[in-house]
Amino acid sequence: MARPRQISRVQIPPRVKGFIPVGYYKDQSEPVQLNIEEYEAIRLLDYEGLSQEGAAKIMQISRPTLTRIYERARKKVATVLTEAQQLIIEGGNVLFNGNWYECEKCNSTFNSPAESTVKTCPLCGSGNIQHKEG
Amino acid sequence: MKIAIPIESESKHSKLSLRFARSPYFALVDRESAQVEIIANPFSEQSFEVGKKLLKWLVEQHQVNTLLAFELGVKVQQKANEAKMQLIIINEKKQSLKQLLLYLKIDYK
Ligand SMILES: [Zn+2]
Repeated sequence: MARPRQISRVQIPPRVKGFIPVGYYKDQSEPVQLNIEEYEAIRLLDYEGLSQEGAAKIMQISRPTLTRIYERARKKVATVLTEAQQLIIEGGNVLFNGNWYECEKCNSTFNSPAESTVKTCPLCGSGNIQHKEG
Repeated sequence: MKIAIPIESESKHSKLSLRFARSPYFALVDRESAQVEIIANPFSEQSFEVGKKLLKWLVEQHQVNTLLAFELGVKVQQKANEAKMQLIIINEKKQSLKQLLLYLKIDYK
């Protein structure tokens, strides 16, 4: 029996849904999909400079699982850079820390601290907000 | 609800600071009373457990329950999540306190 896939904890959702290459390139194929746990692994290890132990602890997964996620993530980012592909950040097996929303008016991202639902943006007061799915 | 906004200088025209825990100043915005207070960050020059000390100070001494930032370091994110604080992550790096107060509909002289 296959081991159930571990769910990764993600502190804050990614800022954007993806990236588009600059310049004309005729043979762009399907975008590369970077899962949200792969994004988080790159963020914690390469942007924040954490150790693999530290990052695994924060994501609440085992160290070998983190290593596998990180290797997949790097391979995908390398493919995007080398082959000039679009990158989409979505999906995966993640749980955000709390409920997260994006405001369509001021473009801020925010959480509801007490696991409650939020109806308006805490910055601009707009009711035009979207729940962020993991 | 009191929001802590990291800023570079002691004025309403200050830019948002991009290093939350080591931000030189904070604007504390009390939404109920529409009061704004600018305070110096006593931990901005320190090098050890800055995020942890700063959050404790903001919560216990200043009743802050919301952090607003462009980017929060992972330590601050974790501590804030543990403390069930609200986080507002804005998507503009070059933001001024004045513009943020306009969003919050707070008139600060
Ligand atoms: Zn808003």
